[in-house]
Amino acid sequence: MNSPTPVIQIENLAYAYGKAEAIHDLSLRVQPGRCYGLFGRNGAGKTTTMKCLLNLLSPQRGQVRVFGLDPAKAEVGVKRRLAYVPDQVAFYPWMSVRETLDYLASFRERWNRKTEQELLDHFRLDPSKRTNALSKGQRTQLALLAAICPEPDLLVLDEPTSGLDPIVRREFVETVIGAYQDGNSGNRTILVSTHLITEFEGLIDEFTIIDQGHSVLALEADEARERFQKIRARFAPSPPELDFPTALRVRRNGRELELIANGAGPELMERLRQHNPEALSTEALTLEEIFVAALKS
Amino acid sequence: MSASIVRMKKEARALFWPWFAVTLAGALPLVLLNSYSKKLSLLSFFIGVPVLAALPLGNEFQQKTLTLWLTQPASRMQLWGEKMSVMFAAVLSAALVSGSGVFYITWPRIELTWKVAAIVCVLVATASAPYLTLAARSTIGGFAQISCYLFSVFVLAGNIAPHRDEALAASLPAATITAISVFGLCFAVWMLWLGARKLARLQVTGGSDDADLLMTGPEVMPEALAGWFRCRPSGAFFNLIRKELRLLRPFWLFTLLALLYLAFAAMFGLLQAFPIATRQPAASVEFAIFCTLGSFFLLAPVFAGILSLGEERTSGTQAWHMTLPVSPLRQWFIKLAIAMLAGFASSVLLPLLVVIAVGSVLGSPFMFVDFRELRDWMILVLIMTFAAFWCACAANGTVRAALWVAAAPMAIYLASFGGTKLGQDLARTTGTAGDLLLSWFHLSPLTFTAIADFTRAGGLWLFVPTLLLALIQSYRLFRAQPEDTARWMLQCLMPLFAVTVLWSFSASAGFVSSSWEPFLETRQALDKLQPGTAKIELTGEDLARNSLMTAPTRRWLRGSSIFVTPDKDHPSGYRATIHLASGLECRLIVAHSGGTAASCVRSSPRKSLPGQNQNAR
Repeated sequence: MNSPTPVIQIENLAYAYGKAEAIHDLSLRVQPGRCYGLFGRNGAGKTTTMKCLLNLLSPQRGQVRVFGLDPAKAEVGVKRRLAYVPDQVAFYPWMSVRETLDYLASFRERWNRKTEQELLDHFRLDPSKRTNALSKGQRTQLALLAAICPEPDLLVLDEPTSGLDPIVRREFVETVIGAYQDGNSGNRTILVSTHLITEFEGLIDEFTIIDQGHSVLALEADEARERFQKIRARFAPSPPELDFPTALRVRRNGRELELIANGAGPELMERLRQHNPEALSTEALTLEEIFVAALKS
Repeated sequence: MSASIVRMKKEARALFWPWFAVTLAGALPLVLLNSYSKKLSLLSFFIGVPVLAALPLGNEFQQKTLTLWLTQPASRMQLWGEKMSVMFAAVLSAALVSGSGVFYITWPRIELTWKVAAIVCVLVATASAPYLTLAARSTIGGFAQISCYLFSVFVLAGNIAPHRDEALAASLPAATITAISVFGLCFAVWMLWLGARKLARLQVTGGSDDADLLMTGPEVMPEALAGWFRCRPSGAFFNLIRKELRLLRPFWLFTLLALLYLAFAAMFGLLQAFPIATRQPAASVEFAIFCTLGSFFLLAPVFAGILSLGEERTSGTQAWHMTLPVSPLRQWFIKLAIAMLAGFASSVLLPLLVVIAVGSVLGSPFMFVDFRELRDWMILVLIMTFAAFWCACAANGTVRAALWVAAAPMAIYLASFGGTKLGQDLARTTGTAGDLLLSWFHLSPLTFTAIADFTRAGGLWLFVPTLLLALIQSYRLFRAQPEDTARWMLQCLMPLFAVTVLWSFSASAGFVSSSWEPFLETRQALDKLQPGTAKIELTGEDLARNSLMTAPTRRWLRGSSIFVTPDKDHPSGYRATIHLASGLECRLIVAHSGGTAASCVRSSPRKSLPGQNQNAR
């Protein structure tokens, strides 16, 4: 059976601002219904990648396809099926929340009024309030609301939770994003760029870690959790002086030895077991720990 | 290096390019003297210098760095002092240069006391700029207030001077100029103190920094009308138009005020004509009104062109719009169309309706309308609006676009001037391409006459390719994410500059700069043969041999035969028929008074009717 057309397909993408290379040979593929994370430090090239997807920037090399279409050629067709929340949200200051939503709804074929009302209540946003009177977090909430109401096939979120307080942030990820994907499970895709990975831990199906424009690691979340493991061994006397070339990181803390393994977990466990540790345990790394480990290694 | 020096260097760096532009515009009459450079020097001195004073604080609002600046480990007064030091250094040096241009070149006969009055006026506007910028919380807002301020000074000056021309040539009474100077200086110091106090008490409320310009001014629109401008859940096209009209809100408020002022001036007989710039009144109050209305109607198209896109770029809403499912071409077109319409409405249509309405009340509807100048005024307004729109597409934000509005057309003008000059120089040595074509192929010298006459009648055609390219470029730039550097702007300008140079050069060297007069040269050669007495038959080579003809004329006559017959009716006149090698027959009728008529027709077996295919010269 043929696999469905990827929602996003990027191949060997490159973009430079003058001499500063923002993305170098980046490739990724996002299948429908997935939540894809684009992780990286500030200035890693996440926003540039998203701008290339949205045809805000023209790729200098490589190829970008969204829903199998070239965003430069089928610009409106692509944008009709996606919604974007930028890292810096801006609205017309004279418009009220209500007018802003009406204005944005006029460009869309679909607009879920029920979802709109629910989210307005959820975020406690006053529809009659002017956008210039909203706080930074409230503006982000309004942008998220405006992106979800048209029920797009693809939601592109660039640092969506920056500026939100922890409670709203958690609610946003669990309730709003979850509800969005549940609305048409299997067809609604999310591409999210963030460095606040913990909040998206349960949602991310697949991710790419970018560093200085290069793809450092691209994996399915579950596979990553299997591959990246934290092994702890406690010894009665001090831990033996061993060399672990296959470990990503080795840390000694008194009688305890902590290793971060990248795919070589069973082998490392076996070696440790040979030295009769008092206790030996293993646990999967969180995505944030994988992110840190991948960048530090 | 101390922190203070670092901050001052930062201020100097931010002010450098605006300072350079103002100084260059002010110095232009010193190197290139024409009416355009004179006007630029006046703009530089009376507008550019105060704007320069508004920029240091305006930039902090514009670039949203006010909080960062105020949280530096230094007292607000120290920060104020640093900013003012750099600002005054920039302003004084720019004022010195542009003042020299204004007082020694543009207004060379102006009397010393008037110079002092003008300097005091600019000093007061400059000293007020920081306070007004802080009060308006934006450069544009500050500039608008400075404009109102300069406007009051114009009116005041108009009232002081009973008759403008005489007044500018005669000195002001010593007591008056002393009073103006003392008052002006005290006022400037007071405004600076107010500015410092305003900064000391400034509350950074954390609201939307970009909202100031778009939200300023009173809500004067009735609710019923305001309802129409509110966006609806459907009708994307009309929503985009509504949004564009709303973005121009400060512009409409200014237009409303200017129209009321225009109506008032017309009603009380203080207006000479519309378009306003066509006649300069001599009387003082009318001159003041002329200056203020003229300034507004010239600046309105600029404002219409830059405000909408400039503010969207400043706030970040433009990039966000590019992600909506609306074709960027449609967005660009709506923005351009609304800008052009707004510029046209504010500077042509609405003022025209106002003066016609006032004229109707006074008994003659068209008493204020100068129809002869209307067409040129309309073209000027449309071009200025488009130039401003182009700058808004190329620059990042309203203030940057406004700064480039004077520089970009000037660059294009210089390109056209340079191209034409180069073409003229080439045509002087080799002849134009048209001359070469006509002389090589022995064609009628009257072939390009109609085109040459058309090109000499108006210079606008010289910019047609530039305008077309600018139109295409504006769409491309509308979609792009502009950089905040002068290099970027120069990169954007370069293609326009190159096309203008090439086109002007081609047109000039092609046929416009032609000074070739083959009929005149032939006639002068024939005159030496004294043809008024007998019939003469000779070849073109014979004629060329005995006279000092230019190379193109010799070439043109090569292979021709010339028949000259005396004019029976007029003793000293004669008629010459030149059969060119191409088969063309040119007739030359030389009257006894010295006048010459020439025509060329294709030789044919049939005899052509008199006057057919004839062009008199």
